[in-house]
Parts: sequence; structure tokens; C-alpha cells
Amino acid sequence: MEQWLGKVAGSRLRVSPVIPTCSTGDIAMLLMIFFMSTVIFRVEQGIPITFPRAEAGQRVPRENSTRIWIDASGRVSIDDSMISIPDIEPIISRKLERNPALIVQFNVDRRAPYNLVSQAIDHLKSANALRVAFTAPRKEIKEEQ
Amino acid sequence: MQFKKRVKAPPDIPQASTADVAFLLLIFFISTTVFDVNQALTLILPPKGAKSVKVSIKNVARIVVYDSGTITIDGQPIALDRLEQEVQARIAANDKLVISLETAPKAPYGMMVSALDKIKLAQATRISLGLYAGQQKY
Repeated sequence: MEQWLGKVAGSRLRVSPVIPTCSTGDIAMLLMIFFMSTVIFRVEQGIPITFPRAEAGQRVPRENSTRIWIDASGRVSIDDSMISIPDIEPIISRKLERNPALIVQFNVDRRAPYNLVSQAIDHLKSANALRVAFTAPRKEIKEEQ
Repeated sequence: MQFKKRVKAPPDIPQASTADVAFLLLIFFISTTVFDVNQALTLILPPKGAKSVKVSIKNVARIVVYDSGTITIDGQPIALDRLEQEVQARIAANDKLVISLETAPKAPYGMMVSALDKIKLAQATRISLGLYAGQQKY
């Protein structure tokens, strides 16, 4: 190839090896579009908990759900506000008036005692919020330590 | 004298830094992306004040989760791994079966979810959730 070019040009040309980087911007843009379409900005922080795992979990639409957070020590939170369990009924009643299709999602630490959840469920029944969900991400092959 | 004509370079926006800008934005979105893991076990509660329905005892499988985390089915201890098979077998034998899942007050919530998970995997549709008020046998 070089000899042929040399003959054509009339002099010897050296072509230095170059990796073309002109498509780097395209690849970066594609990756960026992927992440822009998948990002969810966290609106609610909740409280630190360790979720239980389950295989039979179904996807719950975020727009129709509200979350009750309960940690291992028994602290209860809704919309990043610490509350007591009896407060669940008026709060959920108000939310249910705005959205009758509301699903109440329990984000509860797996070590929390069940009686807290049971009391919360009783208050949900009083508020007529009958659609509940217990958040449990799918089990992974390697259990987290 | 022959002067060389000045070739005017057309106006050009330099695009050399496009990749840099794109990578900066990419790093921002990689660090802020949260993949949605909003999976949950769903249930419909009975309304408060609803009349309790009498069910024949032969149509009820009573699963109890005790404070210690031990699980029993109709009084017999059972390992969590075997719960799904056992519930499946009972439903296959009696399609009117109601699965009553009772959990002791101090039992870990995670054990209740695990038991409910197995019940759901066994394709049970009639599930009753309640608080166990009896004696701690295990």
C-alpha cells in the first residue's frame, strides 16, 4: 500500500496508525439518552431499612401509591415526616379522597415486629384504604450480607 | 508579482469539546440514576365492619408464624422451603381452600413476608392475614 502511494504521489508517504475517535461523541450521546430515559429522581428519602426479599412480587405503579416506612426500632414515617401509628388513618383518608385508586405500600424493615404492621393495617381498614402492598424486591442469586 | 490569494476559511463552530460535554452529562446521569425496584406483594383487605364469613374448618389451612420465626401449618412445624409445595398440594386437593396466615406480634416482619411469598408462589388466591393471639408453642 505504502509503495503504491509512494509511486502515485511521486515520493514516499508514511501513514501513521490512527484510531478514529470521531464517533466518541455519538456513543456518549447514546449512553446519555439511555440514562436520561431511565433516571428517576428520588423525591422521598424515607428511613433506612433492610427490605425483605420475595419472588412473587409484582410491580406497583408509583403514581398510584403512597409509602409507609417502618424501621426495626418502630419509627413510622410517611412523606418523610415521622408520625405515630394512629396518625395513619387521617393522613391516608386525605390521600384517598384525592386518589380513590390509592395503593398503600409498606416499606418495613424485615426485623421490625409484626404487631406494628398489624396496627397500621387496622388503621388502613378504618380509613377504607383496602389496597395494600408489602414491598419486597426480588431475591438475587447472591444474598447481600 | 503574483500574490497568493487568501483563502477565507468558512466560519466554523469548533466541535472538539462535544465529547467532553457529553461525557460530563453522562457521568451526572450515571451517578443519579436509580433503577426502579418497586416490587411488592399485593393484597386486598376486607373493609372494616364487614361481616365475618363462616368457613368450614376442612376448607382452611392455618399457617402460623411464631415469635421465634418457626412456621407451622395446621399445627405441624414446616420448613419455609417446603411451604410452597405443601400449600400447592393442599390447594390441588381442595380448590375452595382458604389460607389463613397468622403472625405472632413479636415475629419478625420478614418471616411474614417470606411465608406470604411462598403462599403466593403456590398460586393461592384466598388468603387471610391476621395477628396470632394464641400461646407461643414454638
